[in-house]
Amino acid sequence: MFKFEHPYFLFFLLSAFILVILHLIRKKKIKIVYFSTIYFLKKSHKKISRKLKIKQFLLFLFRLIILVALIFLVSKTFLVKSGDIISSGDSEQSSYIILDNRYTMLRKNGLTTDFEVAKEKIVKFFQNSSNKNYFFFKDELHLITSKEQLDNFLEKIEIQYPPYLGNYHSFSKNISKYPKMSGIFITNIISERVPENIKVHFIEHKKTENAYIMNINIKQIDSHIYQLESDINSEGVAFKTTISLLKDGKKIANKMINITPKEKQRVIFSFKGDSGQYKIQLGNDDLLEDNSMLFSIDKTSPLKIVIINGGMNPIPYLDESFYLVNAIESSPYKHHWDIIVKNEIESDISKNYDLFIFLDSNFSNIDKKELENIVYLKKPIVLSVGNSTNIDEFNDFWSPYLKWRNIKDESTKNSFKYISMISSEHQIVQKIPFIKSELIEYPIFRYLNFTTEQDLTPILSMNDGTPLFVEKTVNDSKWLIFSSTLSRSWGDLPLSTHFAPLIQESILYLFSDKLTKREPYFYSYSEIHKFFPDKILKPDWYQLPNSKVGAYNTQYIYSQFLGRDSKIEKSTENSQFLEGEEKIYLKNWLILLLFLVLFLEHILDFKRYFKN
Amino acid sequence: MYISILLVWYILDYSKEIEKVLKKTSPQILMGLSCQTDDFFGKQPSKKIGQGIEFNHYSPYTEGENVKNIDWKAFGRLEKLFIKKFERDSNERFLFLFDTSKSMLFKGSDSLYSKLEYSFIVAGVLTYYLLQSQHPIAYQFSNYFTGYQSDRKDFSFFVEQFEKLNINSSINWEFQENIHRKGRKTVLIFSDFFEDINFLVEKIKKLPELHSFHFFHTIDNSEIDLKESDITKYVDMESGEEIVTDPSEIYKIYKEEVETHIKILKKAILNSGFYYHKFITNNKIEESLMSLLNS
Repeated sequence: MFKFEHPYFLFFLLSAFILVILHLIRKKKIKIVYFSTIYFLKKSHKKISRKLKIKQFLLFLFRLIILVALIFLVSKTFLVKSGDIISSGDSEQSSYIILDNRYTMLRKNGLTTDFEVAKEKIVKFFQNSSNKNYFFFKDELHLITSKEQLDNFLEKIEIQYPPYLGNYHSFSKNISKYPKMSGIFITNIISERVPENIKVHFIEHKKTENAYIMNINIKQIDSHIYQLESDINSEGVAFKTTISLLKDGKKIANKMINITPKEKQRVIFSFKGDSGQYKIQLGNDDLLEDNSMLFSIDKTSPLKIVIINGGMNPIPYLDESFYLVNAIESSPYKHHWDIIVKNEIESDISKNYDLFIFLDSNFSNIDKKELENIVYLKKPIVLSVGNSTNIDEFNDFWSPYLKWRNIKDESTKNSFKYISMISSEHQIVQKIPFIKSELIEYPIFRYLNFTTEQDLTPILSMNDGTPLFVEKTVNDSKWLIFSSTLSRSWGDLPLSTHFAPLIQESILYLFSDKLTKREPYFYSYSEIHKFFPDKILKPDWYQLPNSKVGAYNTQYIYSQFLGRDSKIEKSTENSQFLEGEEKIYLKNWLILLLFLVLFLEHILDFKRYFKN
Repeated sequence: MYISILLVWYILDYSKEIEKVLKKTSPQILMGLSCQTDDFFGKQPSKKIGQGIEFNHYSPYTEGENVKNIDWKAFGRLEKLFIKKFERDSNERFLFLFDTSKSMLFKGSDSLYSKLEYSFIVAGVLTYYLLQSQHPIAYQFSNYFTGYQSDRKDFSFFVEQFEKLNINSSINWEFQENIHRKGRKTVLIFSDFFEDINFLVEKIKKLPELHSFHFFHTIDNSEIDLKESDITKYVDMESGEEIVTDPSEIYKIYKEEVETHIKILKKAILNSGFYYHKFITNNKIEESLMSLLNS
């Protein structure tokens, strides 16, 4: 039975039909000659009228055949040789078989997969072939002499990552080692030109219900609320399926989606969750392998920040910790920061917290050992001078660690000071926009004068250059120290719009290395593969460069690259793309027929050309 | 098609065309009609003997002369060969008979004139020379007969006849009525003779031997060799009948048919002792006229 690769050209057969109709009903537009007498013409015509009729009919027939043959030629007509035997080309020539073991071969084919179907075909091929035949396995050709040997090879070949074919480049390089032999590549997806000497035996599916998850993007909305966005692509036919979100194997959300071919579809899940292994999975499609993606939410506990306020005030706006907690809470990282306020240095406090903020030195209870632990375990510290009753108290408490003395308590009542000089080089300040123009508005009434100390890095300074906010390294611990307190009687700094960013950036600065690990974290596929080497979590469709994923309708891809690259077309002309059938292209026969008929037509009409 | 042919025919200035030919020919062409001009009078015997031809004198036979003219009675008496010399009747009448059927309007693509135009010009030229020799001349077209005109000095009268002619029928074979009355005549018949050959042969056989008949077979080359190569519808100019045929297939058979027709016609004419002149309208008129001398 005839089949056509470009059946739309068959519409031109209508023209042949029209030609027949016209031939039957329409009077030909022929030349009219007024002649002196038709007596002799009639006499001559009578003698050959029968011959003329036959000739006219034959000419018409030949021209019709020419037209039809031309249409068949451009339609790429082929004959289908039914049966399951793959032709090995020249029967005298030995050939080799290459079996595609990419994940696309896991596509369902009845009750089994394309991969299993291909294996059966290979067995039949070797059974029916009397020549020396080889099997291409792991970059080499292996001569198959017995069925046991073949079974052994077929058993070894599994769908795997990466496939033994490697990428396209290495595959074609390996194949090019055998230029004189003909190969048969059994696959269900082709998106690259195969070498000339390789025929492609194509396991074709006309309708493929396939969809695949292109990517996922997860955002944390609240402390335990996450939003997952996923793009679904499809190149098969339209169908309905479900998309599910699973946590540790249990379904936590489910959605029905309509898959539209060639249209990216975005699915959004908002879910309450905590750390653990999550999986987003597409429902039934034509791929045997789960069409899913894994992600994980980190189990690491949040950063623990403790504010130790020596002098708490029950009135919030008079309490320094009130400003600090609000500043920290407004951070986008608040979900990763646990903040707690204490008013004494408890035992074991150094072990339980990652960051210490001291607000007042007027502690009711001090565990000196714990304080030493904090300092010597190199925990970062933010220190506010606090509204200490006197400067001596501050000096006594912090001097052993800060290693400075004689810091004077100064008031600006007589000489008004305000923040003016910003150390623009410091990382904290650089990240806060407009800080230079806006902090200037806030006056400072009281401060401790650190000017005598030399080992400070000023972050913020006042208009006369007196440091306001400094960084000091003590025993490899980072200290950030305010020379003024957050109390309103000392200055208006807590009311500054940049106060909260200043505090947040300060924490990020102190924990810059640790904080990155504390962002919501989702494993990449390669990492998952690394973690779970036994289970392949995502089929890899990308073995051949520029190839579409396996979920694509292969026919679509095929037609796409046929139109794109004439070189590919050339190679595919010699290839076979049939499932269980062999294509016999009639191109040569049609050309032969065309020439034969043209020749006969000329012979018939020879007298006319001769007469001319 | 008819209209265009008729238009061409009507606008043709015959006088001018005839004059053109006259410039390229001489009265000698009349010798081809077995008659003589004044200059050659008496030098050539008439091929026909009968009424109206008067005996002039005897002359001794010289080698090369026609043995038919030997007076055998005189030989019996005198045992010497004498040739009878006749004096030609200077008033020999000429009748021009035209086939004015529609087929005569056929003009091949390579021809300058239709067959009828060609015939008229030829007739005009001959008329001119014959008038110069003071021969009475008459034209007959179908049923129209001009009567013998002997005192006309130029051919304008005859040209007028061409111009007021109605194209309708072929040769009027009943013209004998016009020739029986007044002695021997030379009859010049212009036609394509595209009629049933048996009919023609019959008619030719019945023509009186007394008169000298010249058959001017006017024919176009494309009537012998079909020019068309593709399938063509041929329409008969006379009957309007049609035939669709493939000239590339039939042209050989057709040519054979036409040539056989011509051959039989020619044979019938010659066997009856008449003269056959084949005038191909594709040839120049003066060349055709000059060929009379060789016939």
